[in-house]
Amino acid sequence: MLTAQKKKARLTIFFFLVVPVVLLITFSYYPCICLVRYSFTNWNGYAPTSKFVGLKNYINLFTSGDFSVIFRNMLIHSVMILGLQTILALYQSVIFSSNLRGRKIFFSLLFLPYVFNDVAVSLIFGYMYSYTTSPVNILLNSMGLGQYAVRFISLSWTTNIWISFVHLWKYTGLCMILFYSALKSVPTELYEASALDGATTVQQLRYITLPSTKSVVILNLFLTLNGAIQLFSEPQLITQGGPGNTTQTLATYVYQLAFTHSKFGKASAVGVLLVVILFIVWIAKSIVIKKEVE
Amino acid sequence: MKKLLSLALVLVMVLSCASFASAEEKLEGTITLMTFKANKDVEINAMVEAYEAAHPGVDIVVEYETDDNVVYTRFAAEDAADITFIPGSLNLTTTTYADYFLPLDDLGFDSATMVGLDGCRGADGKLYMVPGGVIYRGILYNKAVFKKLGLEAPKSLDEFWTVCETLKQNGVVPYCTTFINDGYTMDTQMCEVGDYYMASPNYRNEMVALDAPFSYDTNLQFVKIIRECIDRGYVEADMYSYTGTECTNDFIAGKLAMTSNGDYMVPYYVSSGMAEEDIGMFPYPGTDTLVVNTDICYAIYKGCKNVPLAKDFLKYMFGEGNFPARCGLTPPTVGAPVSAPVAELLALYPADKIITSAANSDDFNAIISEAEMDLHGFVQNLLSAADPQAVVDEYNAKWKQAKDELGL
Repeated sequence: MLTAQKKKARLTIFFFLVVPVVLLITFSYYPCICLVRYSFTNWNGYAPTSKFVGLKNYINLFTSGDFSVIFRNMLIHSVMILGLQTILALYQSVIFSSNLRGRKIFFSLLFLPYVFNDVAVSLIFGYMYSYTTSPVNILLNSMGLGQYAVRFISLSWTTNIWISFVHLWKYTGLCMILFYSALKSVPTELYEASALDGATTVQQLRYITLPSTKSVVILNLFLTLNGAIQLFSEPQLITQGGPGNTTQTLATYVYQLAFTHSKFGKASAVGVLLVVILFIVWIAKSIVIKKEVE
Repeated sequence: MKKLLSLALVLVMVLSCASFASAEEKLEGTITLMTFKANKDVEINAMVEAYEAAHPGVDIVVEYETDDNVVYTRFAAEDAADITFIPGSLNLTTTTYADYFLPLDDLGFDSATMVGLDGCRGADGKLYMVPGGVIYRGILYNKAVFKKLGLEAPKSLDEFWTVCETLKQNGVVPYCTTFINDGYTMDTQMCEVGDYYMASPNYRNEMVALDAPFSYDTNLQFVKIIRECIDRGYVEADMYSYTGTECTNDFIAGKLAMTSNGDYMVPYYVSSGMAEEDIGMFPYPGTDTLVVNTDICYAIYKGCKNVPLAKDFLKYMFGEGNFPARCGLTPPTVGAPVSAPVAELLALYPADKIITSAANSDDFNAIISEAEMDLHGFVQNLLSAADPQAVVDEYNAKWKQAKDELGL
């Protein structure tokens, strides 16, 4: 038998929970279910009706030549962003956690790109990557080294590296803040004691800093991977997924299918694939972090 | 008798007042107009203000929307603007026009006085849309540069190559490919310009009967010419990163001499500081027919709550409101004034060689959609591939497969 106080407490909990749960179901889970449902239809995005086509959208997706290019691009972005961003952010945070003169200014400057709008950043880099207006090429030309001018945008897979770099430039500052916070939580006594024992800076990094910040590094790695897989604004605004299909990502492909070809059914199938990949990443993250905690 | 007459007179007066009042009532209230011409907001707002001043109690809300996806969402939610532009990517079939739009046959638009109206009819023969303007295509060239180098507009392909070589020798980039240009220009080099080379208003629809419709001997002739321009070094230094804005700036500055585009670029160049007399247009090398295209159309959405006002305003837009010209387009009205470069272009064609392009058929649109053909990407691939014939073969195979799947 529940006491009146317990009943009241449960009611309070219920009313507190009902609003966020309803909002979550309405705006997160229901659209997700709709996405899966549409992925089995030929919906064109605006008609009130659509036809069930079974697995056709998924079969088309996996058998089309576009998919291998998109998958290749996803791998390039993941490796570039995951590897370089983490290394750079860790390096910067280690430097800034020391007593470097003027570190606050540098710290702010490195974090600044994160507060810039994606569209503005992409426009700036569109200008930077133009063969004729790129400051790099202008400098090379002025030095008489015009033959070494860089063709940033081309049909080569390397164009994806430059696209990744934009993301890297924007988000390394945020990554650095996370690492910096983790570093600051490491007791200074550990460094002092190790210094007395004759530990070098590299040894301190290897045996104190990295183990102490491991969980933050892992979390950050997964968040970064998440961002790399979902890359959209940079390729969409700088190259529109082109030239040809060179810089197409899963997200830009969804956009193109939906709004260029009116194929919301197939776009939904790609959306489902994206959700599945991100779900796998999330599960992997949970398992790894759980192991770390244990 | 007098009483009866007075009563009748009063009745007539009351009735006429009532009918007058009801006619006035029809032109009150609010409607929305959705247009993608966000860069022409000042001109469009002036048109709306003039209409509102002439019709007190009327409020026209203009929504400027450059993203097709917003139109999709509004259609899906059955909440489209009362008068809306219809993005080409919507790929509506003529059989579904009646599901989305109101017929406009009572507005007095006539195929004899307005270009391109036949392509705006639904499968039921009713008129559902009005073209936002007409487009004359050709090679736009900087006349001042040509004059300075003693050049004249080429009349044949051989003359075109001679002109290109002279320009190159004098440090001017002869031709801009507009390779990237925000994803809408390259496909026209095959579709609309393809019509010019096929000298047919209906070639794209005739393609439906073919299993391998893409060929360098037919609709890809101009793409072949651009490719040769690239091979001969007649184009911009790096076409993969050269933007439309750079192309425009260099064209105006005289660093670049020619580009393929529509006459809608003329007001754009003029508003950017170029004198209209310095802009010229000449026909695509090797063609003898001018195929006029129509721009994006406007229609009244079926769910419109104020139909009389929407119809009156639409009629005003394409009448005294002069909406197409305000948008920087040549109005679709027959005999409407054209810019100097278009007049120069039209003078080169006999009357029977100026034809109007037919609208894409439902079957053509269905194949393009089924095959997921990104025609802009197709032309990009044709221009950059080591083996362009392999690209042609790939797209022909895609076309055939889509045709088979659709049972056409």
